[in-house]
Amino acid sequence: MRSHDREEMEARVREALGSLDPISMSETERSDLRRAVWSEIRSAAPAPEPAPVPWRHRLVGAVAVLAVVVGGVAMLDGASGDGDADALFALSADEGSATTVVAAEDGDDRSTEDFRGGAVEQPETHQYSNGGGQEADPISIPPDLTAMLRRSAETLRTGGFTPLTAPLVDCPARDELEGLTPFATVTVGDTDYQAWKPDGEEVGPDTTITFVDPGTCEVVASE
Amino acid sequence: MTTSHQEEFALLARAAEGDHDAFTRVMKTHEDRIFAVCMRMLADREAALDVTQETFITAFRKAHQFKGNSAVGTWLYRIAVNNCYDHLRRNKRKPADSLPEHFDQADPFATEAVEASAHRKEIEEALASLPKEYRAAVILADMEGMSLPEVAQALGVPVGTVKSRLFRGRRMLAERLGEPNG
Repeated sequence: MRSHDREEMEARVREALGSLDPISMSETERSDLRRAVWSEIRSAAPAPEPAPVPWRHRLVGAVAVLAVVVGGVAMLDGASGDGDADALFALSADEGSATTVVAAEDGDDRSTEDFRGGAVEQPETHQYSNGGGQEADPISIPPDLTAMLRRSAETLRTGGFTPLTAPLVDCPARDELEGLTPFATVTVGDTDYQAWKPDGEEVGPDTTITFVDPGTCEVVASE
Repeated sequence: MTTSHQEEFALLARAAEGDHDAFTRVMKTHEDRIFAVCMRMLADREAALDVTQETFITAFRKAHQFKGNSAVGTWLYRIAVNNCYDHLRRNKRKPADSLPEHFDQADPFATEAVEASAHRKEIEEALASLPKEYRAAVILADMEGMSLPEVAQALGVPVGTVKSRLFRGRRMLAERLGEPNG
């Protein structure tokens, strides 16, 4: 085929194809599509790992239990027989082991951070629940807000953000927001956190980004 | 990477971290185009809706693998085309059975020009009759307006292969639409 003839042929083919009506989905089809996609994603997600209890909470709980046990032992010290003391000893031994576990974790915060980081790597494990037949709320609070905001900060520094369009919550003046300017929002779970940067500074690789909860106007993270 | 590509890359990165709103935004941006490609590939609305659904489910699950080496749309097209290929394989369609009625095998080089508006059905049938690899190249390049490198990325083949498939696909279309073949 000569070059000229080929070009003509291809032009006519493109013209013919261009005459076809554009294809799009109806609104119903779009809604059904999105619903089906999320339904499939949720149904395939494994049950989420329970959010790790911060070690401080575990320690406080263990101390409280220990205090009760110690108090109980002191009360019975002068009056109880061996049976009761043995039972209490068994109970305190169990609680002691729990305390020991807490202490071990207490000494290694990094492992807890890694665990939380690992959970973030598998978002499906914490975003959905299909256990017990309960209806899952897909917009549940993520297990590690700090880690997710840290990653969001990295994305924001590379320019990956949509500039603010909606009016901000009118936050009262706070010391920690002085000298800062809001420039974007980051959605984590069902919250649109405001991202603030230093006044007059362009967002760059070294920019410190401060995340503010729009509901409380409190700083939740500074990355 | 252009600004819009950066924004989409960021959205997909957030989706990979479990940000459903971000993934929904990606879906809304591309769902009609992905559906259109599936519809042209499969010529069946129900099948196209199913494959479109499969495409976005796959995209969500593999969002963490997207490295930004192509546009998000190109990446989605690749998933969609592969899913269309799988669907066609599973259903063992024989597109050659759907040649337009007016196709005259005794005179493949008819010089009568085709009025596109009057022969939309024949055009669609002719497109559906192409081998799936040629059809995909023609759809992405001539109907979705993608560049040759973008089509190559979407199909996972070299640019030279895209050129070859485009030429052959267009020539087959021309023959089946009664276009002069030179």
